[in-house]
Amino acid sequence: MSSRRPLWFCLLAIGLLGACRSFFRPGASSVPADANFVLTASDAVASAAQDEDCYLAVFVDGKAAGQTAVALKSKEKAWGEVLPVGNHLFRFEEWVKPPSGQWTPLPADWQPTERFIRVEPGLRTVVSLKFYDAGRRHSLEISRFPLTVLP
Amino acid sequence: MRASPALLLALAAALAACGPAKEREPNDDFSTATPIKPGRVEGTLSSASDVDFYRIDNDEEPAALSAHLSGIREADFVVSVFDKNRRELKRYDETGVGGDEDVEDVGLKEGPSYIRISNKNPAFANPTQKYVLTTRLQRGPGHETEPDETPQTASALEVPGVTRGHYFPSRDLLSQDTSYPEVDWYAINVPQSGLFLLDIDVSGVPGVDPEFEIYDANGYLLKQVEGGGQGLGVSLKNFGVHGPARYHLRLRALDGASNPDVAYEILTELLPYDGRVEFEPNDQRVDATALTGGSISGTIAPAGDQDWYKVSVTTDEKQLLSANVTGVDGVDLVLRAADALGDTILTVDNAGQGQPETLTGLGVAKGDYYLIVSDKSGRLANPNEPYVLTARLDAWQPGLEYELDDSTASAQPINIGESVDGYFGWAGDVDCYRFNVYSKGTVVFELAGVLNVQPTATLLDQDGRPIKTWTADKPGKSLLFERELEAGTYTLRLAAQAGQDNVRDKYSLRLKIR
Repeated sequence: MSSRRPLWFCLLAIGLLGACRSFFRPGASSVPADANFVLTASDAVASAAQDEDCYLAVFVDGKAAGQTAVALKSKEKAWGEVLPVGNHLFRFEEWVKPPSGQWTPLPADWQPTERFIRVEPGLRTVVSLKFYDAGRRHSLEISRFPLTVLP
Repeated sequence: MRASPALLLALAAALAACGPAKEREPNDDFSTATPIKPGRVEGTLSSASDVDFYRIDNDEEPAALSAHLSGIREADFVVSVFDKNRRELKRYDETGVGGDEDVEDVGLKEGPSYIRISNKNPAFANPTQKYVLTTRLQRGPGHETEPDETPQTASALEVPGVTRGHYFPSRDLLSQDTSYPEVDWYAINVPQSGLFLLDIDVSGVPGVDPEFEIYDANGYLLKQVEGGGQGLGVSLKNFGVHGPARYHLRLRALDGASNPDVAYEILTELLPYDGRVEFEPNDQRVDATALTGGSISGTIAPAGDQDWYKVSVTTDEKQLLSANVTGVDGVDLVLRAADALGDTILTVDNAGQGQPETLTGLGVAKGDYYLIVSDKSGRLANPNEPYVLTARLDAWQPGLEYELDDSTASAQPINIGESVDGYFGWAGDVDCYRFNVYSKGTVVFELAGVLNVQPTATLLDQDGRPIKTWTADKPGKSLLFERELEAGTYTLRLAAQAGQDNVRDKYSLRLKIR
């Protein structure tokens, strides 16, 4: 047999590696180009020591819908989906992982409470969620853009 | 029996010695200065350019020299005092032709010092009229010792104790500054270790409007205190000292006023700090006094004073910070709450002069917050009439308002079927509550009334647009209304009419489905 690996083997290896990364990194996510709902989230941190890994879990109408990619708190994380037009009940949940600890959700008192957000035809609804004061406070802004325009 | 000639001679000599000492010419320079003791000495000026030197010997330190020179016709006296090295310490020229001159509080070292009397009126021609120079030495601590125009030459301030000095002369004629500013510097030395409070009271002097400043050892201005006007004293209470420490106090009369006749007295008191009063200076965030014991007293002094207090929240759970500051006569207090960076969160200014101010239930989380007490009337409060600031932290529980909730972005969540108690805590307070309607239905809103407040409730849709507004008939009345709503998220915004507030009574808001 030739010592050179066949092409199919290389492609298989690359695919497996990608899948493994997805397995070990909770919820790699990207925003579909045609998503009519997008969540962006980030934290204001006072120091590099507070800039831990985190992600946002997204629940729509009572069901888990996905989550953002894992990134440092200060980095913007995004999740998007094509959702049916209408008024949906959303809940966002921040999870944080300190360097030597386990994934832990923010205490319930500090998580954003669930609320309805309307997805409208022809528009992309963008929710911008910013946490500050070590996650104890947050602001939520809702914007809408034509689907043809990237936010 | 006839008195013997010897006895008569002795009596005559004794009588001669009882009168004032006499100048002994020539005494026109240091080496020929007439030696004198504290008391009276008479002399004359033989011509307009004549100069008379007197030597006074001091055998104890500290000592302060005072003198009075009576005026004579045509003479415009200038009096100078020199130390043993013939260095001019102080020069006095307060009056014109024929006027008296005074010397006050010149510090003398051990050994000889010199007084020089000269004239600056070229038309002087009165060689026969005698002047009288009366000198006095005050020994021991507790006296100003001129020259004290710089921190390096500052007089020692008795701490604790009383130190006397004069707003005199009106000008420092030896100053390099051509405006000849006359100031008195005092050195404050606290050798003990620990935290102390220093009170400083400077008595009033007729005709003088005083001001003093406190500087640290590096020359940084820590506090500036103005008096209440001419003839009134000036005080500083609760000046915090981290001992051992050295400070300087600079005292001066505004507008160059002077008074050689009435001494000021600086009374100081040094007390161990027990945490029950403010620790000045606390005029900015970094110097805030820690508020640990629940209540603390302070004073608004000088006029325009701001007192910062730090409240530290150490638990992770939500807390409610409430505070109250008692009123002070003649002063319109304002109570502010600020975050860890010193940015104002909210301002409470509900009442007027002499009235208390109350902060109701500010929602706080782990970290530092600041309460700032200030006065907006620009007045100087009576330093003997302090305010008392009381603050408390209580664990927040569901059903209590968690300020700030004054916008749709910061609206407090509430579930239908629940109630929440809150305050119209300050004029202009707006409270927003956000709730979800999960399926179409009629929501009933009940708002219990509170005294003095005529509430308004505005229902906003999911996009923050007003749907409808309801207003109670009159202050104190409740609101009860209902609205059919589709599934969605809504906000109810509550507000009082302009200028209304009630920091004593909570309102209660309840939502339910009919």
